[in-house]
Amino acid sequence: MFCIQCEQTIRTPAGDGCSYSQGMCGKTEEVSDLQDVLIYALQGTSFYAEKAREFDIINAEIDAFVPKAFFATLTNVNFEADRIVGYARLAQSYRDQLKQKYEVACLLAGQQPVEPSAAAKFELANDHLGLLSQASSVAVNRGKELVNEDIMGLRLLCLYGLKGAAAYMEHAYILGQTDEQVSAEFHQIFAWLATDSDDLAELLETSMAIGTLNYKIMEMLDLGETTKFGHPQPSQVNVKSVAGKAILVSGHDLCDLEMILKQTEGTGINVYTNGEMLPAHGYPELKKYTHLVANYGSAWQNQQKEFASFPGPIVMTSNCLIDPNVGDYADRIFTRSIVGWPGVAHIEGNDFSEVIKCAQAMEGFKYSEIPHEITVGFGRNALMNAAPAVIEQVKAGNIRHFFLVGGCDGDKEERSYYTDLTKAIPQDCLILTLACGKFKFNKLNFGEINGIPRLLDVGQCNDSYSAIQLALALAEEFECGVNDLPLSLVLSWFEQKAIVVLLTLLSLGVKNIRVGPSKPAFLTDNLLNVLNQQFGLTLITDVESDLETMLAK
Amino acid sequence: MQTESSTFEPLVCIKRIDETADSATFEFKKLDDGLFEYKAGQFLTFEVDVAGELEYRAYSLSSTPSQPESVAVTIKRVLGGKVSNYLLDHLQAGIALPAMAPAGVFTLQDNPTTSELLLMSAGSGITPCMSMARWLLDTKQAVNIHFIYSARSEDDVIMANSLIALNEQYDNFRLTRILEQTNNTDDMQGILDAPLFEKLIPDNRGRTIFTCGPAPYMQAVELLAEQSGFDMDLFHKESFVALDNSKELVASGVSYQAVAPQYGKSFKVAENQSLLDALEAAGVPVIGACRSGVCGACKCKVTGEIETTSQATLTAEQIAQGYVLSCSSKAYSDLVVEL
Repeated sequence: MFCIQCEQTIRTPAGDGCSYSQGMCGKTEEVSDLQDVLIYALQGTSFYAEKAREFDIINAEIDAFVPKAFFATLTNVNFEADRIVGYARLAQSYRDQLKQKYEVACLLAGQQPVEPSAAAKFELANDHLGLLSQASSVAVNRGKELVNEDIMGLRLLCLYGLKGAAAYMEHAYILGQTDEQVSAEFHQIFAWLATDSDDLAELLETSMAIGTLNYKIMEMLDLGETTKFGHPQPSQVNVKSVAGKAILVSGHDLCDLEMILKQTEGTGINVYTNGEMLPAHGYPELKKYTHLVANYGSAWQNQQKEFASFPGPIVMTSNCLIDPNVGDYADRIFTRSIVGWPGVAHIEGNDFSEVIKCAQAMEGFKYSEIPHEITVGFGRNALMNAAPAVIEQVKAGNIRHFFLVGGCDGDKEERSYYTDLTKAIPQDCLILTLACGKFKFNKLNFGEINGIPRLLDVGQCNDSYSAIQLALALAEEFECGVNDLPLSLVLSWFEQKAIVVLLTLLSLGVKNIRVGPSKPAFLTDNLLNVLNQQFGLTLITDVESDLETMLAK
Repeated sequence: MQTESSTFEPLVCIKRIDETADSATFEFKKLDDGLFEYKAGQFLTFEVDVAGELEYRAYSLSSTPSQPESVAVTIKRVLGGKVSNYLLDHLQAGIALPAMAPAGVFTLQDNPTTSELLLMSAGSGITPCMSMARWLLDTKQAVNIHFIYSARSEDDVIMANSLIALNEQYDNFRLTRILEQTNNTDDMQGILDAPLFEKLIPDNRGRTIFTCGPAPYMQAVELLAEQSGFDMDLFHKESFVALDNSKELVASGVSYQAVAPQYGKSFKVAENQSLLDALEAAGVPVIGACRSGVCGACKCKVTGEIETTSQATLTAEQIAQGYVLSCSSKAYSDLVVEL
């Protein structure tokens, strides 16, 4: 096993990365190895998906499958060996389909088919032990003895960045958004990464290409969400429980939430959002359901305590899932799509009656707590509507500086930095936030500046697209570049979606971003220096000095 | 999140009675309709989440233990009062709040008393005195109660109707209201001073005072009682209305180094600062409830030199193990603290 993709990966003087019998996330050596095999097999599929395109051979089903299966290897998504193997075998059968069509097309065109890459030639072993024995040769750090650490770090940056992008492609796909150009580019990069380039410049360039690609994907996702559910509106959300039977919906998939809301209508069951599902309360087509009563709990790392206390079933629509046996709720958590945990019920199709039955059999909340309302829903449109008022306050000198503080949450103590920072940000500054990192501070009362809330919750991690739009609008209004705005970005990262959002911001030329709580273990000091020189990217230090530097801008 | 702790039990508000423009009484029952066990004069400590920060506040019960199906507290709006004002703005019937079991030693049972009782209160300090009066009368104790209540005006009298009803119903209950502004000849006009005290209590022999109210009021009652030659063994005042001057004290003087290894915290404890304040400032998840050495919520185990003013609720065994009430403890050396 070797996995170094998330922030909590083991770091020792002997070397970084989870490489023992279980990863810090709870992923076993077996599952980790099978995920490596899956990724390599998928890269073989992408090889032929790219080649077949030369003859306009495009298979939408395969284009959707590859990013989806890649998403299954993201941190805290799928811990089930059998399903990973199933994805790998399907990947290979899709590869064979494409390969055959490509070769026939070549023959008809009188061309010689290209020599397949090693990944494209890779054949899965027939049995489980055989698959596991293949893992070392296809590990994500294969060939590490042949290249320097910087090259390996860049390969991983690209692979993990593309994995984040794949996750967003799957989210967009569920919302009916696909783009042939995006799929083509995705396959091209994914297949190329399997060739283990040792060209530093080319790898750096690819990382930026992944960022650019992801910008398009986030745009698709934004379009998908706003087309289906309307533009988010600033909305009050109760974050306390309400007496009655209850279902908790976590993850990012708004479509699943909508289906659950429809199927529970009139049953008396209250539906709660958790974690990254919080922004759902801002969408007109979701907030219209009166039994979408509240947001429950905080960020993913607290789920073993919070889910354990939730008196109803829990539906995990995407990442982040952690061991449900710790809090003893494995029998009432349900996974969806690419998510999986051994022994946990997985719902295929669109029928949630099993979940509803579970909610009805459980006690639900015995009492209501004093409602505590927070405001969400400052998506692209709401921000644009607020922009004139914001600009007016900037010109009047009432708003001095903007901070974007967001990203993933996690359980490291150092992450209190983000709470302390937002508390310390002066009263004449606005704070934009997104993704689950917001749970470090989103229940605090930040007040307002002449009617404009000081904390603006933009949405999920992918809604960084909306924040970018606001920055662009402000830059246009003030006739300057985004980097000239009184705007500072302070990101927290945990998994690969955050990595690709960072790559997107860098590819757009956004400078002086601060990242914490620690540097990705796969990035070497040299690489960090390169990113610092090119983009002014730094790690967070302490609140006082960081704030001083940012405000001096 | 709904409470799962053994220290706190959710109590459901079943009734809200708006007493005056700035106060309300809240009646609570247990989730399982279980009975309450407490002594008249005790208080409840509630855990309240105000804008994402957990706060703990103690409120005296105004109900009588002889009707144990429910309990009641009365809360008054105070200038800048974070929790009281929040509860007045948000707490309604149907909502539950986590609360600790009733606690406190401002009771008839825990103090020397006589059968001639002076229950003297002001503002929302009426609650424990009301609880005592209700219990004494409901259980037909052979006592005479003189209930002396101070408020700004008639509109500020909390539980006005209940007081009048008790006055009418029981021969051994006598009500005196001292109002700063009043045209009612049944009331005394003014504030409690020496002449008024003398007039109300011409003979203080064999009498017991229980007093509760704002700190200046209780200080005045204490001073007047002393000056009139009152037997101070029979003078009892509620003590959890602590003055919070910790912030001023931190600024001055020596400080000691403390560590809480369970939470990876290392912090300073200033001389004269309570250990509780220092633990809270360091982010150690200690529960500071009554903050006056009564409820026992803030107990912690300390290695080092400590001066402590209260050991209430601690068992001899715990004391031997080094447990202290952090709200009532000051450091005199570097410390190691465990919860």
